[in-house]
Amino acid sequence: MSATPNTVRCVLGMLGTDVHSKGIRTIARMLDEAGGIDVTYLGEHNSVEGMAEAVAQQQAQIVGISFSSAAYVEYTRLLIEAMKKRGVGHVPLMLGGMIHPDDVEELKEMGVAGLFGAGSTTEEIIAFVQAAGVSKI
Amino acid sequence: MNDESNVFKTIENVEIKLSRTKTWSGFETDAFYRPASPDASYAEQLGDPGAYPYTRGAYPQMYRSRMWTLRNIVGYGSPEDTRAGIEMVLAAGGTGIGIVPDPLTTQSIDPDHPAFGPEVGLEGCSLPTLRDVERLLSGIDLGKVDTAWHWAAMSYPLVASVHVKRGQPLAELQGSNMPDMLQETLCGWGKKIAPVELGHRTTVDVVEYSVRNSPRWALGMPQAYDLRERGLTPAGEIAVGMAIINKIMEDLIDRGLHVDQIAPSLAWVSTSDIDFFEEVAKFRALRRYWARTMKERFGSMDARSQRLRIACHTSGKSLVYKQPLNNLTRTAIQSLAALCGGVQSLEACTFDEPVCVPTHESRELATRQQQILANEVGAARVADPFGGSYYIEALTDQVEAAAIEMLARIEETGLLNAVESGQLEQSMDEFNHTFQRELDSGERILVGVNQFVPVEEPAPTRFKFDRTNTYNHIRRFSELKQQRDKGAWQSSLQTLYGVARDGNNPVQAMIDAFIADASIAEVWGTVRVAHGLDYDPYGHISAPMVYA
Repeated sequence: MSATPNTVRCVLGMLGTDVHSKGIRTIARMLDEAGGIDVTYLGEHNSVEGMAEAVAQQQAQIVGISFSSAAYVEYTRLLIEAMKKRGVGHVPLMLGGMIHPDDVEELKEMGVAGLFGAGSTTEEIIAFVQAAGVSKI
Repeated sequence: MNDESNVFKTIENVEIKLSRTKTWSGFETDAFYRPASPDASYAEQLGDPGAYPYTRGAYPQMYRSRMWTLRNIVGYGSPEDTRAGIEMVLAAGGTGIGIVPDPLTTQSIDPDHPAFGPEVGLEGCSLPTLRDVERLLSGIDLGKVDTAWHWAAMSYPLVASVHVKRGQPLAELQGSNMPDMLQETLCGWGKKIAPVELGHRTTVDVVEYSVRNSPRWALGMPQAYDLRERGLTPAGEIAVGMAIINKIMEDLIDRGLHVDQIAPSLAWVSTSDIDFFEEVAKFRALRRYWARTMKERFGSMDARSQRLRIACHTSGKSLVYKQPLNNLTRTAIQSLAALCGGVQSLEACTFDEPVCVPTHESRELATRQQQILANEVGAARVADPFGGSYYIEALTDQVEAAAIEMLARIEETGLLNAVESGQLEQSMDEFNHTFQRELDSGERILVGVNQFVPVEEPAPTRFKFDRTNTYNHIRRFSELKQQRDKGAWQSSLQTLYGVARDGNNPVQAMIDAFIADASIAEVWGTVRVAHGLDYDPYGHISAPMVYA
C-alpha cells in the first residue's frame, strides 16, 4: 500500500526464541491489504531493545507483538521499559497470540493498549490499527 | 540402579497390547481384507499390507504383530522437573518417552544468555550440558529404553555423549531424534539461526555418523510435522518432505553410503490434522511414493528401506483455545486417522495444547484416549481398514499426484535454492493467508473460532510449576563453567573447530566436547565460527575462546 498522509505506520515482530510466527505473518499481510496501514514486519527473534529501536527508527504509530510463549508477561514488561527508555513509551502496544484471561488485567495495567488473543477477528485488529492513526490527528 | 529407575525398567519391553481381534459384538476378524481376485492394478498400486509398494501398511499383520508406541511428550523446567513428569506419564501407562527441550536448548542457546532469561525451562526442559541429560536420564539404560527427542540435529551428539561417557557402545544406542535442519529454517528459525547450507550439512553429518555408528538409533527424517504446522497441505507434506529426503540421500550416497544403509534408520515425522479421510489417504500415498522412490530412484533392494515407518503427532494448530475440551474430540479423530493410516508411533496432543504446557490431567487423558482407541474402538484389529474404499483410494491417488507435481517444481528450482530464496516460505504464507481469508468469509468453519463461539466460559486451567529448580539449574550451569577442566574443555573445542573448518564430519568431535563439559551453545557456536558465522546468532555474546 502506498503511504498517504493518513497512513498508520505499524511495526510488528516476534520476541525471544518464539518461532510461532504463522499468525503474525498472516496478520501483517492482511493489515497491508486493508488500506491505510504501512506495515513493517521485523521477523522473529527480536530482543526487546532491538524492537524498541525499530519503533523509534520507523516512527511507528503502533507496535504489535505475537506470543506463543508463556514468557509473554515478562517480555511485555521488559519491552515497555525498553520503549520508555528509547523515548517511544507513548506508542500504543498491541499483543496477539496465546493471551490467557488471567493475565489480561496485569497487561492492561502495564499499559498494553490492545489485546487480541483467542477469539479476536481480523476485522477487529484492522480497525484497531487504523484507529491508532486517526487518534493522532 | 537406584529406586527411581524402576519405573523405567518396567517399560523396557512393554507396549500396548492388542486385547481383542473380535468385533465388540463378537465377530472374528482377519488381519486384513483384500479383493476376492486381486488384479494386476491391485498388486501395482496397493499390494497387501507388508508388501511393496506398502500402500496398505508397513507390516503384514500391522498392529497384530507390532502395536504402535504410545508416546506422551514431557518437558518443562529443570532436568529434575521433567524427570518427575516422565515418571507420572509412565505410571499412567505410557510406553515411550518423548522429551521436549526448551526452545533455547533446541536453538543451541545456553540458559545464561543475556537476552532470553524469561524463557529458560518455560516451554520445555533446559538441557544445555551432558550433566543435565545425565540428571534427566539417571538410571536409564539408553541401550534398552527408547527415548524420543523432539529436537533437531544437536540432540544426537549430546545424548550419544552420555552413552559414551558411561562406557557403553554406540552400536547399542537406542532412541530417536529429528535432525532435519532445513525444516527448522523454514519453520520460524530463519536463516539467521539455521543457515541453509550449514543446517543441511549438519543434518547430513548427523545422519551419516548415526547410520555408520549407531544403527539402532532412529532418525526422524524428514520432520514434516512442523512443516505442516507452518502451512502445508497433506500433498505439500509429501512433496517438501520427499525433496528433503532425496537431497540428503544424494549427499550421503556421494559420501559413499548406499540407500540400504540409510533408509532403514529413517522414520517420517508426520501429523494428523482434522480432515480424517484426507489424512488416511495421505499416509497411504506417502508410503507408496516413498517405496517407489527408494526402489526406483535410489536402487534399494532391501524391504526395510522401502517400507516406510511413520511417527505421528496430532496437529497442534488444529486445536482451538475456546472450549478446549472440544479438542479431545478433535484429537480422538486425528488419532484414529493416524491408526487407520498405519502409523508406528502416536502422540496425541493434549486438549490444552493451545493454552499452555500440558497439565498432568490433560496428559493422562491423552493416554486414556489411545487406550480407548486400542481396546474399545478396535482401531488396531485390521490393517488398512479403508483399503478398497472408492473414496479413500481416489483421495490417495489425488494426494499422491499433487505431491508429485509440487515435488517436481521444488526439484527444478533445487531444494536448497527454494529454501534460500524464500520461495517455500512464501508458498506457506500464501496457504495460511488463504486459510484465514476462508475463515473470515465463513467459507471454512472452525468451531469456537469463527462460529459456535461460547460467549462466556471460565478461564482455562494453566500448567504452572515452581521455578525454583529452574533458577537453581541456571546457577548450577554457571558454576559448571567455572569448575570444569579448562584444558580438556578448550582442547575439545579447538579440535571441533579444526574438524568443522576442514569440512569433515564434526559429530565425533561434538560428542567429545560434550564429554569435556562444553555447553550446547559452545559446541554449536564453535561450528558456526568454523563456517565463518558469528558465534552467537543473536549478536549478544562473543566466543569464549580464540580459535586457531
